[in-house]
Amino acid sequence: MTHKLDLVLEQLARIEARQEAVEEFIEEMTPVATAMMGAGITTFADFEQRGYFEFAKEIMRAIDIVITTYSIDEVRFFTDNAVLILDTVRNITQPDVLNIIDEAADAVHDAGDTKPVGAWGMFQATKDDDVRKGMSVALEIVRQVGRAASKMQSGESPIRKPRTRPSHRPAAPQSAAAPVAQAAPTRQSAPTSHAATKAVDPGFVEDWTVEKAAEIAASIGIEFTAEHKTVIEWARADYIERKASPNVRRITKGSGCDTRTLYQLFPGGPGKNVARIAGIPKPGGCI
Amino acid sequence: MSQRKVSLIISKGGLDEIYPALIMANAARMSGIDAMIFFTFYGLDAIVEKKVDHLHVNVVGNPTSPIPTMLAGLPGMERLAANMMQKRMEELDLPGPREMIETLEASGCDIYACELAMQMMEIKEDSLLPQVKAVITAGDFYDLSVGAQIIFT
Repeated sequence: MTHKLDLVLEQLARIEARQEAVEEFIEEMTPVATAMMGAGITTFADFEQRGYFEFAKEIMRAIDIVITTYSIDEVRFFTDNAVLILDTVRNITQPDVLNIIDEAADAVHDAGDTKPVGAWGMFQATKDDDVRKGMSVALEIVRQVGRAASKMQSGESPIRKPRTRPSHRPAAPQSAAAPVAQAAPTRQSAPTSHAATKAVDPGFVEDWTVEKAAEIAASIGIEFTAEHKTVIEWARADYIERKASPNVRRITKGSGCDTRTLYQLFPGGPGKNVARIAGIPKPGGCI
Repeated sequence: MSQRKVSLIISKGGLDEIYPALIMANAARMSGIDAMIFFTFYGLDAIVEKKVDHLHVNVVGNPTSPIPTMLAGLPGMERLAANMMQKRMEELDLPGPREMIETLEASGCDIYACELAMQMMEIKEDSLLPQVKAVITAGDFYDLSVGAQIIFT
């Protein structure tokens, strides 16, 4: 019986010791905690003072506007090209670039006071060293833009390797070129019309018949009548004899059809249309 | 593809200045491109009945002239040069300016004369070639050239 009591007493003693330890801990920690809370509150108050929370609210609003304005594809494009965009922004905001832009802005500020210059005034302006330097910078910008535009046209890859630049060189020309070239990474160069028109010349068609001629005429939108037939057959015979397609002048002289009628029968270019319908190559020459 | 159109202006009177423009207009018509020509100032020589067969080539003061200017300025040299060019064109069976203008009008190219220039040079409308469609002003020219590519020679 006393054994059990001893055990219980021991237990109680241990609990009491722990309780004391906890109380001591709390006692020591309280000032620290208070100080921390105090510091925390002060900092938050400071943030509030300096507008952090207002700012954060506005950021959230900005994000909200972006999300509602742009489609997810546009945002994806943005994020895919974030490095490029930031690179360019960094380029543009180099101190020397900003300096130049600042000075240029000054000129625009004073724009109202400047007097208009005519041709003579421009000539005199080129004697000014600053004007000369400015012209060469402007030309450099134009050159860069032209280069980038040519790359765009030829379909070259628009991804530019980021360059480290020596700080004394103005970064404006290259950065002006970069967004132009990279803004359209999937754009393809448009085919020129020369290629398109050159394609339609089947040359000499061996197995040609009058029926085929009528078909070809219909495909161009020309109704094939007896008058057409006369001209076409003459043209084909002329080609076979001379091994050269007759030009419009020769057709008017040889086929018995005068210029006026010929142009009425074959609108859209009698030279090439007669050749197409007759299954002979397009005539060369200028007359 | 929308219908293409060219509007040519011929303002000078040498054969070397008129002929290329006539060829361009004709080539346009042959390709199915609408064309019109506006003759003004010395270009009017090409559409005046009495002058169209007597157009001269520029040989004096012309850096590409085959005859040096000092010789080219002598009386008769210009006529000689014109005859030589005429012969060359006949060899190649090229039509002269009159025939070109007839062909152009028949092919559907509209030919106009400049009202102001006619007043300045005192040219009457009945002295013009029959192929001339109308006498118009520069403003009319622009109205007729809507959508056209204007080529000034």
